[in-house]
Amino acid sequence: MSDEGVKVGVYVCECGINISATVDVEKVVEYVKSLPNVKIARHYKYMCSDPGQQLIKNDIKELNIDKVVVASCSPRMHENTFRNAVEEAGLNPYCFEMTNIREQCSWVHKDREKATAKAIDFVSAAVARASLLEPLEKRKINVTPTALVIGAGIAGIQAALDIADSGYKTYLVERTPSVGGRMAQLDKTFPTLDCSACILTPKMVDVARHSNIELLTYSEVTDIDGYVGNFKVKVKMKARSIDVSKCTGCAVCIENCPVTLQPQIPKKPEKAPAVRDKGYIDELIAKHSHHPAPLVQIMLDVNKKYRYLPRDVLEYLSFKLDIPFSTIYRAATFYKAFNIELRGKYHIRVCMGTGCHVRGARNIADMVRDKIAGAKEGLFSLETVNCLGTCALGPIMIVNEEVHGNMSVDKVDDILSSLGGE
Amino acid sequence: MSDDFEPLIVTFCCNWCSYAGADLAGTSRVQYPPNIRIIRVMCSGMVHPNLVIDALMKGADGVLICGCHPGDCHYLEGNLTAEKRAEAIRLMLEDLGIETERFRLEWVSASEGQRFGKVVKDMVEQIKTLGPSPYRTQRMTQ
Repeated sequence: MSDEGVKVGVYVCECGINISATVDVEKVVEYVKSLPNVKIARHYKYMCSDPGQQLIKNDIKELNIDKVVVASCSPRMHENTFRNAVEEAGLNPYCFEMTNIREQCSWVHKDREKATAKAIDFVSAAVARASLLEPLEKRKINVTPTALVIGAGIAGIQAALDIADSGYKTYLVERTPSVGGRMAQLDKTFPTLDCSACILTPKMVDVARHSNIELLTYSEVTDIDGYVGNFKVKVKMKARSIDVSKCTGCAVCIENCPVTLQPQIPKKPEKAPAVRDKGYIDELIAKHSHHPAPLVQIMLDVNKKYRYLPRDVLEYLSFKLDIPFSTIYRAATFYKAFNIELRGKYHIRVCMGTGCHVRGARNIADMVRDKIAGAKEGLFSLETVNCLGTCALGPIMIVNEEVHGNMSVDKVDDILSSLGGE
Repeated sequence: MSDDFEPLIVTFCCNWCSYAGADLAGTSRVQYPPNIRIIRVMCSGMVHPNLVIDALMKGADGVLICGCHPGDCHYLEGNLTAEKRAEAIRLMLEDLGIETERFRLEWVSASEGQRFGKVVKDMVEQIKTLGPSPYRTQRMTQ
């Protein structure tokens, strides 16, 4: 993000004597004027007053200020006041930064010199931040005023009834074929020993009949996406194989059902699937066949040859070794030694752990990224990792298995060039 | 260590509890040492360990993060993230040879103006006994 050509206007409020008694506002203004990007700096008795706000508006129009910093009270007090003022003058209201030199400076300190130094730091920081601000746009998004209640036990039933009674459409999803939940299994409620069913059953009837409630029994929520007011929920309604409108729940259909389903297990293919370098793979299988668990040994060799585990090879191994593909895939994705996707001839790992970060790991990663963008395809690949456990050598770059410690941007250049990068 | 050593403590305050707590300290005229520089962040959990280490490596004498009490987080569990990050930060400081006491994570609610003042006072006193940060010479002077 470039902050060139930014024109910041800084306004230091005296707040009567609330600020100026402890903070030397003139000194603050003098200092701030020397900061980069600051076009104008002023102080005024009450920035939040109409003339104070007018000061900002005039400068925006006359001096073309595009970022505004106000140093005054807490943003919790007047942030919106100034945002509105800035907006009225035609500037994006989010190109405004407020810093708090009253509640968090002048009111909590007595030493004028130290409080002034603190205020200068606060304002300098605000100027630095303001220089980086970008305009933001407000968006309005429609809200769908409906509710979803998951689980139709007594709590879910009551929640759905309360929301529906308040006039909102409510979906009530229940996993089992009937609402009621645990309370339907109880005889009496604690501590009054009331009849459980007498409390529950009228409510069960109410949710079923309520015009604002859509009851989805024998259904499960499979996916929730979106955000407040705009949720998208996927509900899986399980097959009921009956006409719901005619069903009375007599359960006679269960006894008389003519169909019995068996779980279906996919059959093993009869022929071996096609595979690259069939001879080589068969050789590998033969080579490791004496091993009690040959899979990982074979995969290590495959990974070494192709620099990753091609899917067709895994499928072929599944057939030949008679191991389910899912098991093979699990092993292939579990061990760090295997790759599922093709890596460059030189796979570069750059550590981004805090130890390396403070020594400039980001520059190293950026440099590598730049270099490999210009190199031949398939030669290099880059991965950033969180910690390689050798912080004392940082920043660290590992090319295949070779560790390069104390990296610098120049060294990246040398190493990649020697490996054939431009 | 000279007697007139004035530490610089970078303080991150979450917008919802601690920044309001610091405001309350102001409106209640709680007096505390002027050694802190407050940075308003939306949540204590968003303060990446790298920011803390950067502050210390660039010459701050201490870093204080203030967030909502556990269970009060505006984002439900941002402050718990901050706590996990604090553990990582302390490990890093040990590795870098910086005293772990130079970093603190404290819970300050919006109604704890007094507590905010006390937290700052305690921290400043502690840093004063520790002396200047070994990286202080690198600090940009005004």
